[in-house]
Amino acid sequence: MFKKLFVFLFLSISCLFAEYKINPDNGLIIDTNVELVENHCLACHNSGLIVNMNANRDAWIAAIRWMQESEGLWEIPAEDESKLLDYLVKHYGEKYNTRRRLPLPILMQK
Amino acid sequence: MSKKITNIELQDKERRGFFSKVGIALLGISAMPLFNSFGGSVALANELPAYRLKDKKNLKYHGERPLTAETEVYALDSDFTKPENFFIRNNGVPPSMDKIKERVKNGWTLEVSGESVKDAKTYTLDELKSKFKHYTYALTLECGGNGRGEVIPSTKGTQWGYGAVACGRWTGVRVRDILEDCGIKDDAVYIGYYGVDTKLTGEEVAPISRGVPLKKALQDETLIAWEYEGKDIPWVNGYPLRLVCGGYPASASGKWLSKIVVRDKIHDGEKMATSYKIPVEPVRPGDFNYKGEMKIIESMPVKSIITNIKNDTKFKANKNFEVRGKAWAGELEVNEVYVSVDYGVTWIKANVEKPINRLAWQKWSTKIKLPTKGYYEIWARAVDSEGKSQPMVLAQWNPNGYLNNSCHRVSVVGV
Repeated sequence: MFKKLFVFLFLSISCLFAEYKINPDNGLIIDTNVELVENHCLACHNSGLIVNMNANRDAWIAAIRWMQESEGLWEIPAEDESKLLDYLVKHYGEKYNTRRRLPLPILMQK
Repeated sequence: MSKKITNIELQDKERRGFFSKVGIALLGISAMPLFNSFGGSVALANELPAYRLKDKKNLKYHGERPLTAETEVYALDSDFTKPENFFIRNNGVPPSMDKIKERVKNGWTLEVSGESVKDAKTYTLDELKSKFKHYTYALTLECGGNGRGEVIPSTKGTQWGYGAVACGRWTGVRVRDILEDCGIKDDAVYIGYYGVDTKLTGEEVAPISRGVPLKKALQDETLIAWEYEGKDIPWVNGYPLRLVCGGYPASASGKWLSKIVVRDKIHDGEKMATSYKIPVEPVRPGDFNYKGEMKIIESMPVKSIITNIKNDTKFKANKNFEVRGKAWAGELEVNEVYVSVDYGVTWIKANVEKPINRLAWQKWSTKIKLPTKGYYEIWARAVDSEGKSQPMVLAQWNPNGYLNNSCHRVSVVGV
């Protein structure tokens, strides 16, 4: 039981500490599904627009829809889009790095 | 956890090393959250020299494609923003200098057309300069997304700090004089512009074509300019010709201007439909699915910045020192600026100078002291001529993160 718990904890912690390398050619964190970002996003703009942003899934979806509506971004198959979003949220997800008061809905979610 | 932090610190160190190498002073900027959000990308930083512009200084680059960079707030301390400090915001790919020179050699032209123009005409740059009276005005141009970096929940778009703003003296001819020369029909309500930049996708079409209501176009200060601060406009800021509509989002001031259209409806150019708009009715923070009515941003809201003090500056406790900066209020004037060192418990009224002309930013200054040793923040808050003040937090969240005019602040230490 303890052994199992130990292994579980060890794996969880290793996961937390996992270090990711950055692709020197494009500035993106190297991880599963990064190729989807490279193929769909970097075709038009560079990684600055991605790595500067720390946003939640809804915001990333909104960005994709806006690009599809007005910037000539093509349709991305649903499965790929979902994986692409997983990558973006994992590495460039929302970060509350401010001391300003957070909006109430955000505070209530916590 | 400690390992993770160490890794981030290391990356920061490497980045700082890089920036000091290329001569960009990164510390002391007012928007530290933005520094953090530079993205953990050492590789990106290493890419920077390739697109850093030689004739620009004190800029903090956000991205290469599209090329975007904001001015370090302390570089906005001069009365007018120097050409080399003017921020960069592109929606597409700027025309190359070779392409511009080729066009200039053949006589750069400005076409005036559209369904609501009586007599469509094309002027060469020389004709514009010789045929119409010249005017010079100091005009404040601010990106509609300036301050987006502190919007929570985060939205798409460049994560600007406070430096996507500039005010300098533009010289050119009045749009009004040009429109009078061509004649406009009674049904004219809007103008639109076209430049010669191209889309990021590679298509040879305008990446942005915005406009302003006719009443804005006909204002005295709305110019078609060829000179900024007594020199040619910097390449990346629109050389050789730029529309300048001060007080409106800077996206209304078309760069590399080649055509103006007079419209019988709200201009429907690129990025008029989906960008630079805010919800008519307030929405819940984080509602990216808002489908309600949107309105086009016109006058920018009141704002102020502290330009003479960098973060973590040390001051002797209980001794006066000067705090100064700039304030502007879109189409309006700034009436008052207040400064606080106690998080808004008390406010000290600053001296605010009149603008050099309408739509120019205003200098403000005051003397303050830190009551004791220890950590303080200086906050600045401007009030416009209609009594509207800057809020301490984002006034109203919107899905595109526009118009964050929450008060600027710097950290200081009493010693």
